[in-house]
Amino acid sequence: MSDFVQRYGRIMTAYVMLTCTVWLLGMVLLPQLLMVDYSLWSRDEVAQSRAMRTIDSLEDRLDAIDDEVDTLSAQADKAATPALRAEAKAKIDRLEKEADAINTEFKPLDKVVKEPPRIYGFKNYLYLLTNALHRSIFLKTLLVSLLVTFTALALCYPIAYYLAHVADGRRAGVIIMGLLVPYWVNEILRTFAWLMILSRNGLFNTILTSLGLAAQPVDFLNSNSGVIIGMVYCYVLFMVFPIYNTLDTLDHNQIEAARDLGASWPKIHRRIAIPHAKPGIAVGCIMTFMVAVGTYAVPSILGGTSSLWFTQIIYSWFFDGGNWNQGAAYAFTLLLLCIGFVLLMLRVFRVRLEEMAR
Amino acid sequence: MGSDVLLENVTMRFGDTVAVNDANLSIREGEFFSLLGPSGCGKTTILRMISGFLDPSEGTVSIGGCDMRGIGPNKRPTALIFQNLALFPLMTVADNIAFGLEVRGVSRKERMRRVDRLLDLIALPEMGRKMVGELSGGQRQRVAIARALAVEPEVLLLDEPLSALDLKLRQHMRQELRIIQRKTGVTFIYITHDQGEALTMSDRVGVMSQAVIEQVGTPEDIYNNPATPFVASFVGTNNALTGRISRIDGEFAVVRTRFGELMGRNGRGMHEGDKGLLFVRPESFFLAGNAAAGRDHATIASMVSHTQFEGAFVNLFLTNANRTRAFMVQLGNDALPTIPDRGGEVRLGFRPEQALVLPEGALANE
Repeated sequence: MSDFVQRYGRIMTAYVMLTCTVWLLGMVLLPQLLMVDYSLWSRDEVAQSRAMRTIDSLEDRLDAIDDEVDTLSAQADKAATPALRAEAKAKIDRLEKEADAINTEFKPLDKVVKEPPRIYGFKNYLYLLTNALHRSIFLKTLLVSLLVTFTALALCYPIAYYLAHVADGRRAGVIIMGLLVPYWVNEILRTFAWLMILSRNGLFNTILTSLGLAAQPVDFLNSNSGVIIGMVYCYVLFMVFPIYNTLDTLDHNQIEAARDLGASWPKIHRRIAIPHAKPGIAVGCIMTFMVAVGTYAVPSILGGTSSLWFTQIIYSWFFDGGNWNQGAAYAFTLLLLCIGFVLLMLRVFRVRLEEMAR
Repeated sequence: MGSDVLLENVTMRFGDTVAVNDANLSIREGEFFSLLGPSGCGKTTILRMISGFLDPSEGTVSIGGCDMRGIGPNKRPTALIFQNLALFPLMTVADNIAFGLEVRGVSRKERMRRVDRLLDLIALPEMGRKMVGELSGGQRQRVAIARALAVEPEVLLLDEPLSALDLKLRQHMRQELRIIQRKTGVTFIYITHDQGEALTMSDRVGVMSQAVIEQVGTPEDIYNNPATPFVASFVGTNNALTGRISRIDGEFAVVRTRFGELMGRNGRGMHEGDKGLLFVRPESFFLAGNAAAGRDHATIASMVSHTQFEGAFVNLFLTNANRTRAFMVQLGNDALPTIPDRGGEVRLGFRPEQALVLPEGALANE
């Protein structure tokens, strides 16, 4: 710390400390804690409706009192004797006192109706477990994301290897540009392009049917295949570049040495290139999985109605269902899934976090 | 299969540049052969053609009498030791050495046995479990040799493998390489730009310059009887004097130089009137005192520029009257008191049989 002050001066140190604190608290800790808190409570709807009923009955009673007061004051006006009038007046006084008492009761009840008491517990999480439809969508999201991740890996490793060790500088540059340029277009637009390609009368089906590979147009859009194709396309970059970066640091002499010692190409990849690229592969898998699990645009554009994504359910809890607590619980479950996947990848690839940061 | 390596009229072109021009080489079985040349002369290209990473544009490379064209590096009876060694950093020493056996499907037990034997050979027993990163430079060097020898190659190719080591270790590894080569009887082809390495280790040396193999011979041959001005000036140090041959005297040629007529062996059968270069090695000079040129030696008058004390001997740098070209003379330590101060005049003598006259040609850049 004093080292840092010496090197960069007080103002710079204060600035760095401040931004780090703001970042940690404001962008990392607070939102997560808020979400966890939200997910752990729900509104006490029983108390709320009871309060509403009580308010109703109290209002009824007030109406009745009003009516009674009206009749009593009419009686008092027409009263024959002062004694009778005094009696009616006294009754009215009693009723008004009662009404005053009732009026003071409204305030706490209104509060209960407006902001029902919170009940802390795991109800929101249990709801996900017990709701068969949501559970199956959660599992489907997980499985399809895994599938997208491994498809992207199978597709990207050869590309990354080619870029790092086969292509000369010029060609590698052209290919990298080719990979990057589509990403200058907004993700939604790119996804809509796939919508046109994959639709019933789209390019893909036209080719398939004209080549005789399919008897009738395939419905990509109301099944998971459209979503998978779209996602693999949208997220290959997250896979290519981490792997390319690690493979690029592999000394080409090692590949030649392995070859010189008699290794076949599959052996060279299995024993030399892939072990070296492991941190990159882990990072690529984690990033691709994360964006795939957390995407909203691709499944809502390409998924049609029959292939809902878990994020769409979270969205609807927040914005259609108006149940933020339930939505927070779902979102947090998704976060836990992602953390679990990160840990799994680290274990599978035996990579430490420091290595991935390279 | 024998293991002699034969290059016949081998030419290698990369686009417009010729990396190797019409090379002919015959390397015998069990020989320690060095290819010596400055960087960029094409020696590594020759090595890569023998190991199979490149196929020559023209000509044939054959090993043990078999044409190697189209046979990949993984199928050739050669093993290459890379300049940076290219050990596999993610594997243990034992796994590195066993790699070639592993990919050939040798059983684990047999692999362990052979690794142990190789670790003994390179004098690193019990080091098998270490990671490559834990080894010192010299140890890595030896592991690289063991890894290459593990596949029992007929020919071991070494691409300047000692260049990253410090001087002491390098000299030690020279001996060690030679011992390993004798023990295994494998043909070694050693690439280097360090003439010390080439001269001390090799049975024969090939000297290359600008894509051409200039001379092939034993180290003594290369040093004493260089065939071209390049070899004469690249291997060891040499003083060169230009001139025209004024007469031929038996085995000797007389060259008319700025310092008068000087005599040297006529190495390449030159004729009167040819333009030539007279080479005299620094150690062939002696201080002639005031004596005039005798029958057995010629003398040159020159001026002392500076001296350089090297311990066992002294380097004396000389200029001629108009302070242009400097000679280098190497004298024994005991000559020190007789050397005049800076600016003083000396007479240098040399015997004609220790001077060599060659046709004019390119010299090696210092």
